[in-house]
Amino acid sequence: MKLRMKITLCTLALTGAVMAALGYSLTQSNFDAALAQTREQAVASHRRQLALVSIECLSDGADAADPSALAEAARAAQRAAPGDAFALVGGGYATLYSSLPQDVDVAARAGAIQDGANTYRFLDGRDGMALVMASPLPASQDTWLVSAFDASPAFIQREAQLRRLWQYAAAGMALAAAGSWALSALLTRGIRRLSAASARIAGGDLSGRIRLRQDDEVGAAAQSFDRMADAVEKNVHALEASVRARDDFVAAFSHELKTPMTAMLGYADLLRSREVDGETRRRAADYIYHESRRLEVLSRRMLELMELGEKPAELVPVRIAAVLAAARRACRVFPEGAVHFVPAPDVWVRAEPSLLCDLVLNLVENAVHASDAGSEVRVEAKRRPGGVCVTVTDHGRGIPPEELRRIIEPFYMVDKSRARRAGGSGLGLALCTRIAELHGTQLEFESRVGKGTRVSFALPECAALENGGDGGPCEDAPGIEGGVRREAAI
Amino acid sequence: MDPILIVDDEEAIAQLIAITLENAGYTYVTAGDGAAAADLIERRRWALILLDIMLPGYDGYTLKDYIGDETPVIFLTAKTAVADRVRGLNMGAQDYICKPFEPPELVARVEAALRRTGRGKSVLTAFGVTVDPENRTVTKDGEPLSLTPREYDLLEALMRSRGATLYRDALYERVWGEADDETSTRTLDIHIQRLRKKLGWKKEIRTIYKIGYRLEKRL
Repeated sequence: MKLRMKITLCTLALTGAVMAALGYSLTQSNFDAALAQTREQAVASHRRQLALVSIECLSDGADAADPSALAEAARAAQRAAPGDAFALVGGGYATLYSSLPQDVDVAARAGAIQDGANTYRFLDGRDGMALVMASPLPASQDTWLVSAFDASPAFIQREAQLRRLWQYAAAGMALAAAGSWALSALLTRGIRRLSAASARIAGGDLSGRIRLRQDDEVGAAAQSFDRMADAVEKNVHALEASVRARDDFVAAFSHELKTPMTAMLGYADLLRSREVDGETRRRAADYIYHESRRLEVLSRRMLELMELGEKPAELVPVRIAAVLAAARRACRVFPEGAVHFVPAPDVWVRAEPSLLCDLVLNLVENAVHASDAGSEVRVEAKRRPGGVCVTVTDHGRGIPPEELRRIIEPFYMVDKSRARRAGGSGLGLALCTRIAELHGTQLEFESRVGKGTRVSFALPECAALENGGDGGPCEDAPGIEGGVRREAAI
Repeated sequence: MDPILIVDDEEAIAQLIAITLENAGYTYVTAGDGAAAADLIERRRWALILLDIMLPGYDGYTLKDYIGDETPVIFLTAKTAVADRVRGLNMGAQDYICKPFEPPELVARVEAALRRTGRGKSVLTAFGVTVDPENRTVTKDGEPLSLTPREYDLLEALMRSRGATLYRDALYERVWGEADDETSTRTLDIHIQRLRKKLGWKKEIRTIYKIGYRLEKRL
C-alpha cells in the first residue's frame, strides 16, 4: 500500500476515533443532564399531584378510605393540573382514577407500586418514554398515586444529537481524508522522488539525481543518495573505460603476436614440406630467425610491463648523476659520438635506480633510431626549483602532432615497417610511461617533423644519504632493442 | 592468367605468400601500403587480390570499397573477431583468412575463390592425366579413373608441387593428417606404388631415396 494512503487512512482512523469518542461523551453528558432535569421535574410534578389530591381530600372532609371520595379528589386535582397524567390505585390494584396514557397499564402501575415510593422507572411506550413513579397517599396508606411524566424530550434530543454527531463526523472525516491526502502528497514528495530516482538507476540510467532541498531526514537521505549515485556513475565509467582500454590492448597484442607467428609458421612449413632452391631457403631461414627475435623482444617487453603493473617500486635516494652515468655506460653500443651526456648536477632524487636507468636508455634508443648518422642525441639533467629535469633531445625525423598523443599507446608505432626492422615492439614508450608513473612523474613530449624531438621528465629533490650511496648501477640494462644483444650492451 | 596482387605491410608475410603462390603456379605482385596498392589496382587487371586489413594509409576496408566488385578479394588479417569477419564478408569479399594460416590452406582458398568467380585454372594436368580439384575427379586420356580418397589427395599434392621434391613426413602428414611414425612411412610408400600402378606411371613419380617423392615436370 502506498505511503500516502497509509498516512491518510491513519489520520482518518484517528480523526474518526477522536471525534466519535468526544462526540459520544458530549452527547451522553448532555443526555444525563437532561434526564436529571426531567427526573426533578417529574418528582416535583408527582409531589404536587400528591399534595393536590391530599388537599382535595381534606377539604372535602371525605373519608380517606372512601373510593369515590378519593376519585372525586383526584378529579378535582386533575382540574387544577390538566396537563398531568396520574392515577389513583387502591387496594388490590383497583384503579380509582386514571388519566394515564394507555401504555401505562395496570401491570405497569402495579410494578411502580411494588417498586415503592422514592423510586421511579422508565416505560418505553407507544407515545414515547415515560417516567413512572408511585407514592402512597399520606392520608390513606393503601391508596397509591401513580404518575407518568413524559421523559421523551431528553431521549429525542439524544437521538437528534447522535444523528448530528454522525453527520458531523462523516463530514469531518471526509475533510480530514482530503486534507491529509493533500498534505501527505507534500510530505512524501521527497520519498517518491527518491524511489523514482533509484528505479531509474536500477534500470541502467546512471544520470538520475534527486536534488531535493528539504531540511529533514528525507532531505538528508536524498542528499546521500545523490552522492552515492555520483560515486557509482564515476566508478562505472572508470570501469568501462578500463575494460575498453584492456580490450584495445588485447586486440593490439594479439595482432602483434599473430604476425610473427604467421611468418614463422609459414616459412617453417615451406621448408619442411619440400625441397626449395638455396636462395629461397636462405630467405626463409632469415625470416624465421628475425620473426622469432621479434617475438622474443615482444614477450620480454610484455613481461616487463606486467611486472611493473604488479607491485609498487621501492624508491631509494640516489644521485641522478649516478643513474645517468650507468646509462652512459650502456650507450657504448651506439656509434661513437651518437649520444652525448651533459655533466649532471649534484642532486639526489628518490628512484628505483635500474628502472630509471632503463627509462633513460629507452628514450635514448628511440632518439638514436630516429636520427641519421652523425646527428647527436643529447641527454641533460638540469636543476629546477625543487628538483631536477632530465631531457633527451634528438635532431631526427620528429613526430607529427596528430601522432604525438598516441605514441605512448602500447604497440603503437609511428612508422611500423622501420620500427619492425629495427626490432621494435611498440611497447618501449608504454614501459617508459609506466616507469615514470612509478616515480611520480610523467613524460613530456615536444616534437617537430624533420627537426627533432625532445622528451623530458621532472623529479623532486630529496635528502642525500650520508654514506653517499650511488644507487644501484644498471649494469644489466635489458632495455636495448633493435637486435642488440643484452650481453653486448655493457 | 592475370597475376595475383598481394597487399600486406609486413614484408615477411608478403614474401611468404609470394613464394607459396609461385610454388602453386601463379604470378604475383606485392604492395606494402594502401596507396601503392590503389596505384597498382588501377594499372592492370588482376586475377585476385589478397588484402591485409591493418595497413598504413588506407586500410583494407577502404581499399575493398575502392576495388568494387570487379576483382575477387580475399581478406587476410589478424583481426579474427566475428564482427570483423562478418563485416569483411558482407562487404563482398570472397573469403576471409585469419592469421596465422598455413600456406596450403591459403592456396586452397585462393583457388576456390578463383573457381567461384570463373577465373580459376580449373584443372591440373600432367602426362595425360587431368585432376579436377573442384570435383575431385581424375581422368587419364579422357577415361575416368577411380582412386581412393588418399590416393587422390596424394596425387593432387604431387601435381600442385610439380617439379619440387616433397619430403616424406610432411607429405604423409598433409594427406593423412597425423604425424608420422615408423609404420606410417610404409603406408606412404605403398600408396605411391598403387598410384603408379593405377596411372600407369613408372618414371613420372620419382623416388628420391630417403628424402621423398617428386612429380617430374618432364621426362
